[in-house]
Amino acid sequence: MFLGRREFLTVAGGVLVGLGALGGRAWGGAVGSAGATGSSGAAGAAGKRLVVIYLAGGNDGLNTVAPYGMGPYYDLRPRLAIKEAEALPLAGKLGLHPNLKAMKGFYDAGRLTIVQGVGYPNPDRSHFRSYDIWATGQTKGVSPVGWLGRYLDLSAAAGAGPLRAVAVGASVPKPLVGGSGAAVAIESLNEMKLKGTPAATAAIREMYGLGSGPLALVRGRGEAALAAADALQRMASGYKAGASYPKGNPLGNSLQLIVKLLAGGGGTQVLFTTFGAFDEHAGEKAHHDNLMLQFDQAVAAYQQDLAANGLGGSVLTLVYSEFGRRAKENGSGGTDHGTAAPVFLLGDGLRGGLVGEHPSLTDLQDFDLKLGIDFRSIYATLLAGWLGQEPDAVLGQRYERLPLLKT
Amino acid sequence: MAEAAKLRHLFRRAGFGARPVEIAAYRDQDLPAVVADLLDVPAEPETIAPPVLSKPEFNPERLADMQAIWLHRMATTRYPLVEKMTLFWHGHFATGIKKVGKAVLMQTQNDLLRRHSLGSFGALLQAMGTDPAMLIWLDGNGSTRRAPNENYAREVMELFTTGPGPYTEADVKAAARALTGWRVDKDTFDGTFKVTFSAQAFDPGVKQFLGQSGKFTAADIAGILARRPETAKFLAAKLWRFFASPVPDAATVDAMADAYLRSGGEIKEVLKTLFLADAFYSDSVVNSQVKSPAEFVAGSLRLLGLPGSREAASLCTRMGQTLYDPPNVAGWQGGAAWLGASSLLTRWNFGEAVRLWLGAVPRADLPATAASPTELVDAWLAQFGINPVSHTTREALLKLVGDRVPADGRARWEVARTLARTVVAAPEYQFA
Repeated sequence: MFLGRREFLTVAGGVLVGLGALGGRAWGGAVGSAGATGSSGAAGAAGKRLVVIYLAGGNDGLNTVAPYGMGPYYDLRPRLAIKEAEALPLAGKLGLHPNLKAMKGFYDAGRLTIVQGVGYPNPDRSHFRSYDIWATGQTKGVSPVGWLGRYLDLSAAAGAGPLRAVAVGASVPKPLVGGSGAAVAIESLNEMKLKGTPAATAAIREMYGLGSGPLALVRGRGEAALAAADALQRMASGYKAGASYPKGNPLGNSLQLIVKLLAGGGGTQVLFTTFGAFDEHAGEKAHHDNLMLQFDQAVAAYQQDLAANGLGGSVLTLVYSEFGRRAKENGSGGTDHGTAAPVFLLGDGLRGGLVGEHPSLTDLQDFDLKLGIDFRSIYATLLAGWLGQEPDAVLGQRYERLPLLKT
Repeated sequence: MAEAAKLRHLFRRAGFGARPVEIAAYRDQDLPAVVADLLDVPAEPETIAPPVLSKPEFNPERLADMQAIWLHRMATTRYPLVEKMTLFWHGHFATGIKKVGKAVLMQTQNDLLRRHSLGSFGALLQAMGTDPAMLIWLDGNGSTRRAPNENYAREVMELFTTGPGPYTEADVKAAARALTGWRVDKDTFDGTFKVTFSAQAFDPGVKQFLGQSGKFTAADIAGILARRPETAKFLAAKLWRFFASPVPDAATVDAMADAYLRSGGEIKEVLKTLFLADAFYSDSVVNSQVKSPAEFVAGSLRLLGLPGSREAASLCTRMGQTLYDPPNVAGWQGGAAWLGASSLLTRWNFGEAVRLWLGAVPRADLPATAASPTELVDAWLAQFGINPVSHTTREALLKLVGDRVPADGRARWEVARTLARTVVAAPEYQFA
């Protein structure tokens, strides 16, 4: 039938038109065994994969990497500051939040790189605008395409399966939105099976066959969903649980789903998940402590699971938020929207350690930290050095490369 | 006299769809009369008995139960536009239970949205400023003059009224000062939690806000924002997107904004302008909008005469829309974002739940007596308001029914409910 051969074309407004039957190879060919890394031709630089964890709402950078060696820190944050004795020390009188114990272990082992003072010029303090800027890499105007979506478009020629790019959640987030509609959104693997009598499911498959006109959008999405569901059914049961994930931890659930996809050998290369509600305008202490703990425990299990499934070397994880928070705490025991903040990168392929300088706490701009490193330099470095993609075409201009990756 | 196609469109968008018999009842009225009827709603919201939720029995503190009750309202109300607008306002003043914590406060806010759903926006905005769930959600709760909290001050402009543009960071800080002094008293419960105002915590000083100067309070800020022309434009454009299309129609949006300003912010007047505009019935608008999960679920229940339930609520969540828990303060994105892979599969699998809910006993009020496969398929397409239907979809449904409709009543009902199960999965039915 029509399954297994599809190609999409974009027209104005991002509507997808199914062309189908263009003679591409069947996705079934991408199925491999456990831990196989070269199973998909799409995995740019020799089976390298990228997992992105977005901390939604603006994570407090100053209470994630605490500058306990800087005196003003305690003046700005009399109630919220992390005490020197509790911080988990990094280099240069900086310390991790006390609940980031696993991260401290990764840092000591050289597997965690922390890029400091990351943001962009003329920071916008709207969640939505700043999210969009990080999603697209564009500070001027609104681009309909995300940076990873653009990457997927540009590198699609190598041939890619229906599971090449997966967002954990109900819909594809802006960073993965591209013209070719390559990414699929999967909230839970349990839902990824069509139910009903054989006649009813056959009718549904038929209804989502080739179509044009106003139904093309949903038919395109339907075909992608069926292709993803079928690929999951065919996927080798390559995953073996290599870690015990913390219970009731939404990030842990998402990351386990991600390892299952990666271990299944379905050619998944780019993954995205969102965690938390970091918009801590009030009562930040207890809430942020808990989010840091959940984050640390989930990522610890995830890293162990990746290693157990033979994926430690091929997966790089990027952790970012749309902005940090105001240097000075507010009267509600929280912090308002800020600017530059640290970005975490995790994996065996990294050099580890700190990159860049911690922003000054006295030389502020509009009460906020000044930009140190443009986030697009991180994107450019990962595109070029990890995904094997010339980055200027993705980002629209040239950005400095950073010494993040092992050579 | 209004054409059936226009009425189907109007009832899908201004409500949750209408059965063929309901459309027929309006046959002799012209469009202005039908719109007037839709907008004619009682001042006090309709009382609707909750659905029977058994094992365990109904608990107002349980999220799934509150969701089931709201879906039941959408499915059974005599005033569908009230529920549609309540859903709009929930997405607009998007407040989430995870941070608010108390389910009863979400219900209090839901009641507030319903009471003001078609009324004065200024009144709604002012009430929202001291709604306990909103105070907790955007941290107005306990904000004091010593260091005012900026959360509500920013979002009330960016997301609830003017949209980005007319204000600066200084306006955010000035509004934050005016909004100080309010607190949710979580110690006193009398059906809901009281909100108190402390003159000590309030900043009584002069504020410079959007070019005006005064000792502004929360009510003043709401009044200033509700009267701004940018607010008229912002709400008109958002209502157009919600009811009509992601592509703006400049003339209609302008007319809606004018209606807002002329009427002093009466939402009913804005909607009347929209529902009477030719552009609302244009080819690019009709059948073009992806249904939200709530519209999809509640609409199906309504068209099939089924009650709201926890299972329906759970399916709605798995399709990507958790009522009372929007993804963030901007609400649900809508449109093609509803069509993620597992969300779409859940929509298709919702059909299996529909088949079970319809039961094994034939329902006299639903199409099951048709003699030929063509008649049966067309009757079900009409039941779900699908018109036009693509050749591909109709052929697939005809193939599902087979060469003939069984003569036996029970066997025929089996075919009918399998058909109903499959029609809800049709590409056409994902659109409103």
